[in-house]
Order: sequence, then structure tokens, then C-alpha cells
Amino acid sequence: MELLKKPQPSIVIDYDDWLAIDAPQVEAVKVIASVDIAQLLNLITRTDEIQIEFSAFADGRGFSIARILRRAGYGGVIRAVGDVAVDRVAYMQRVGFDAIELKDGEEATLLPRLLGHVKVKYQLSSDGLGPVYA
Amino acid sequence: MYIYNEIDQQLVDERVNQFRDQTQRFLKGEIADDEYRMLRLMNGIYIQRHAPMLRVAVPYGQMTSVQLRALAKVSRTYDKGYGHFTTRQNIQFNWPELAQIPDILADLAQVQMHAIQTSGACIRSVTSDPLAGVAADELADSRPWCEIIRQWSSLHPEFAYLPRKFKIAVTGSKADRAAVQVHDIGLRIVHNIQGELGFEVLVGGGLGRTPIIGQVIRKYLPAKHLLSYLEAILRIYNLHGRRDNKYKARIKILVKAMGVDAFAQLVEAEWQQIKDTDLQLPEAEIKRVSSHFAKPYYLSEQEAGFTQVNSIVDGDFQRWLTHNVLPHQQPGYRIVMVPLKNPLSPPGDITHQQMDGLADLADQYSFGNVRSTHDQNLVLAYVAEKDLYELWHGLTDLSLGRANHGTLTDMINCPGLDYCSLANAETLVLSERINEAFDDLDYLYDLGPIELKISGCINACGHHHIGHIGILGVEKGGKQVYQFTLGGSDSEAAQLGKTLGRSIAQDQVVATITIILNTYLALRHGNDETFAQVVQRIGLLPFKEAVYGTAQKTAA
Repeated sequence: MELLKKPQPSIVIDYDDWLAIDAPQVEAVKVIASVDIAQLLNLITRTDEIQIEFSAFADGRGFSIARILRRAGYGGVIRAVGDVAVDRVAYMQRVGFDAIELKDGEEATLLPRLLGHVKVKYQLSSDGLGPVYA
Repeated sequence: MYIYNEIDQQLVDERVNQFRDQTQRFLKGEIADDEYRMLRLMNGIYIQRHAPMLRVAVPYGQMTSVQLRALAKVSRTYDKGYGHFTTRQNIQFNWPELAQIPDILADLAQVQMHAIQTSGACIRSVTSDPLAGVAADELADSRPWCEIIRQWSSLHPEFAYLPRKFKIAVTGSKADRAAVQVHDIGLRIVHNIQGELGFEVLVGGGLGRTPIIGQVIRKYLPAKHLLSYLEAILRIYNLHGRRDNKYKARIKILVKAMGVDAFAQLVEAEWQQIKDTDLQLPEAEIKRVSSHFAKPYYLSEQEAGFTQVNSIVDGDFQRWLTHNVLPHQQPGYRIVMVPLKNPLSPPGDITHQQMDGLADLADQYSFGNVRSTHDQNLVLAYVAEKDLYELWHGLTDLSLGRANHGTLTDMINCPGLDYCSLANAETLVLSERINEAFDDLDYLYDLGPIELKISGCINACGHHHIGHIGILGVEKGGKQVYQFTLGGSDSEAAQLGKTLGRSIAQDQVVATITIILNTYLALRHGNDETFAQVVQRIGLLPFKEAVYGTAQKTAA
């Protein structure tokens, strides 16, 4: 499955540490949900992958962050890390995530969940589909 | 009435299968409790005091007779033979088995119903004016816009894990029968000077423990930009709403903390980036959805009308005609309110026999359409005047013809401690006692319109803040006591009620209401001055003195 195939980068730097060294070109940066998005948008050309950390199942900020990054034209990998959970992966794909890091043992249960997900999409999002009426 | 196309049907069918899978995995122990909790909440299932509770969406309060019969069947087959209409126009079943809920949802999907987003921290089922499309004072029908919002918000991938629940209400009339001022987003249909339809957008209203009246953030939003503007508000809220404290997580707290102007600026900046994308509503889509809400095939005024309806010599019928029947925008037709305020059952409750019977009456007299209201009543919205007397007999046979609409006993009431695990106090015992004490209809008519709203906890599901008389149940030292507020209103200029004084013991609630009513009757300027107007004119002090004695004056 495409989502699981993207290999983890060898080095991932935390966003704050990256800023502290003036944000040089790197393989991957990890941001938390409270990241300053306007600032991040100015730096997206300097990293091939942005990892968005889900610190809790209930925290949905990462969905909007991914959406805004894709809208701004970010073409690198956006990976969901932390509390990902198979039942949310279909929504993550729609808003622009193209890589996920699951808990051990969750891979096997993912595929049927994605296939069994609701295929009708009423809204515009990052997955290139227009709204249902367009 | 919106009829699903293949895509709409596919969505609800797929959602049933998905939820069946999630529930089976949970019952096998494959999904953690807290994770399943969020998944089931997004599909309308709470775990209550006695059993799971399933809340089924009645989007913007619209039902067909076929759907009402399906709800009756669900209550008969899977529950105890009744359902409970809520203050958000939905219906709840209090006794289903969790393992059977996927089957219930599959049955409902066959009649184009679902429980999608009737709870959880997501965009909730949209509510509206129950008189949309028939109200005499209407500017435009709100239902097409509600349906457009329903579709856009259903399974929105970005907004399923918001800081807290999110409620949108729409009205197309100046009179606010949808309580748009106490919603996260309230939309009022307006026309600009060119006469083009658009929306006045309010944000940050809400009740609960921090009641706030919503503020206007946009005076005129062109209709085609509706979804992009909603999306901008939701995105700003999703990113900036508080997540550290669930009592401070609603959008009203964010708007209050930032100030409405700063919040509006953020929304505006976000909106500018998305307003001219595919989110812009094409004229064809607006037309397609609107076509589902075309006027029914009305009879001519000569055929439908009955000018002598006021001269039928039947006192009970005439009382019903005066209180439960409202004017209609179509000559020869009337709107019939069907209060679910039977003295013997909790407000909003309806039995399966009543649902089936009402569905038959709707087929016979109201184009098969039934509506639910935010004050827990039902409506037959298309009744020809010539049919009123027969319909009244039919309703009376179902015990649905009580002529107490708009009176004190047409009260709003949450289920309280008897059912709800959040509640601090019983509420149903109050409605029962109030019904017993105030059963004389002539006395109720003399009191005039009074909105009594009762909540069993600070979450305010009974909307007590906006009742003319509001009652909030709290627990103090192991006892259930009740705080009174007066002067609230959910009219077009909504107001929050002010606290009367210290809490009242449960067995003193009826006596306290009696004192308040007697004070009103003594101080009103003629029979035409309503309770709300008197409170507005003289304030709370005379009521405080009457209830607590003059000692209260210094204490207050």
C-alpha cells in the first residue's frame, strides 16, 4: 500500500531544533499541532518531508495543517506520526497525507478499513477531487 | 423534501457498513474504549445511565410520513415503543442494544435516514426554522441551504476532530424560530440592495456553562460563497480553538478571547484564499437542491379554504384553532402545531402508535410531511382549512390535540437525571408536577405566551438561559435544588435570563412558579402585556421580593 511504502527518512529533525540552526535544507522535519503555520509555509522548500505529530486521538489540528500545506503547493511527503489509528487514515489521505506511521500490528487491519471506508466524498479537499457537484 | 440520489444513498449505506465493522471490532476488543467512544459519538451513540442512547438525525426537522413510520418501527422493534424529540430537532431512542444499533441504522438507511454527526466533536446535524417554506413572514426558504450544508459537512475529512461540538442553524425569516443567535454559527437569509439572496453570518453564540449571544461577523455573504465562508470559520476554529479544557473549547470562547474583530480578520484572510475555488456553489447545484423544496400542489383558495372555520360550534376545537393553528403563506392553508407535551410523559416523548397515527394524518392532510421543532413539538405544515376539523378529531384520538401550544406547559425539558449521565438533577419530576398544578387551560390562556425551559445540568440542553422562566437543576450538598432565571428570550433579539436568587428546593418549585405568575398577573398593564414584556419593564426586583421576601433586597 502506497501509504505504508514510503520509507522513514534516516534523519528527522524537530521543527524547533531546525529553526534554531536557521532551517537548512533537510530530509525531514517534524512539527507539532501548535506549529506557527505562516512561518512553516515560508520554509517548505527546504525539506523533502514534513511529519505532523498527532499527540492525541482527539486532536484534529493536523488535518488542517496538511490541507494548508498542500494548498500552498507543498509537493514533498506529509507523514502522520503519533496517534494515527486506522479508522482515521482515510480522512488523512483526503486532506493530503501520503505517508503514515502506524502502531505495531495495525498494518494488517488497515487495508480492509480503507477499502471499507465511505467512498462518497461530498467535499473539496486535497485529494484532487472536486466537490460532488462540480 | 430532499430525496436522495444514488450518491446520497451510497454514502449512508457505506456509513452503516463502516460503523458495523467498527462496532464488531470494539465488541471483540480490537478497538480501545476511548477510540471507539469518539467513533460511536460521531454516529450518534452515547452510553447513558441505563443503556446506549441512539440519536437519529432529522436534518433541519424535515420528515416524510414514511420516515416517521420507520422511526415508529425502530422504537417498537429495538426499543421500548417510544422515542424522544430533542431541542435540536432530532429523535433519541433510549434503550437499544449496542450490538443491534448497526441493524437499526441499516433499517433507517432504507428510508434515507442516518445518525451521522448527531453527536461528537464535529459539525452537528444542521437545524432550521420548522416553518421553513410555509411561514407567512418568510423571506426565503432555508431548507435548500440546510441541505447544501448537510452534504458539505457530512463526513468532512478535515473537521471530524474539532476542539468541541459545532452547531449551525439557518433561518429564512426575521422571527427567529431556529435560535440562530445561540449557535456556533447562525445564518440569517437576507437580501442585498440589488435584491440578491445572501446570508448574515453570526458566530460564537451558545448556551452551556458560558452562555453568549452570537455576534455578526459578516452582514452580507453572497449565497454562492456559503461553503467557502463556513470552511474558513471551521478551519480557523480547528486550528485555534482551545483543546486543553473542554469547558473552554467551544468557538464562543475563542471569539470572546480574541475579540470578534480579530477573529473576523483571520476568517477573512483564510476565506480570500478559498472563495474562488470549487467551493463556490454553481447555480445549477443551488437549483438542483432547491427543486426538491418546490411548493406542493396546493388546492385553490376556493377548494382549500373554509371561511366558516371560526363558527364551528365546538369549544374544544375553537381553543385548539386559536392556540395550535398558525397562519400560512398559502391562502386557504394553515400550519398545525402538534405539541408533544402530554402531561403523563416527558416533554418531547412520542409513542410508536402516535408516530404511526400521525404519519397517516400527514398523508391524509399535509402532503405526507411532518416537521420537528426546537421546542420539542411536531408540525403538520400544509393543512387545508376545510380539513382542520377532521384533523383535530384525528389528533385528539391520538392524544396529540392538546391546545397548549405556546403556553406555560408547552415547556422545553431535557431528560435530566432519570436518563442522562451528565445531569445533576431530575427534570421530569418537575414537568410532571407543573403539568399537574397548571392543568386549567383557561388559566394558561389568561397567562398568555410564556416559555418555560428546564435543564438538569449546566450543559443547558433545556435552553434555560433563553426561557422567559428558566430553571436549572444543580446538586448542592447531596440535594437536588433549582436555580431560577427570568427575562431570557429566544426571539429575534435574544437575551439571556438573569438569576432570580438562591436555589429553590425541589418540592418548592411549583410554589415558586405560582408566586412568579401571581406577581406577573398583579403587575401587568392589562391582559395584553405579556410576561416577557412585564419582566422587561419592571426588572427582577418585584419577583425577588415576592419569592424570597423583602429581606432579599439587602442581601441582593
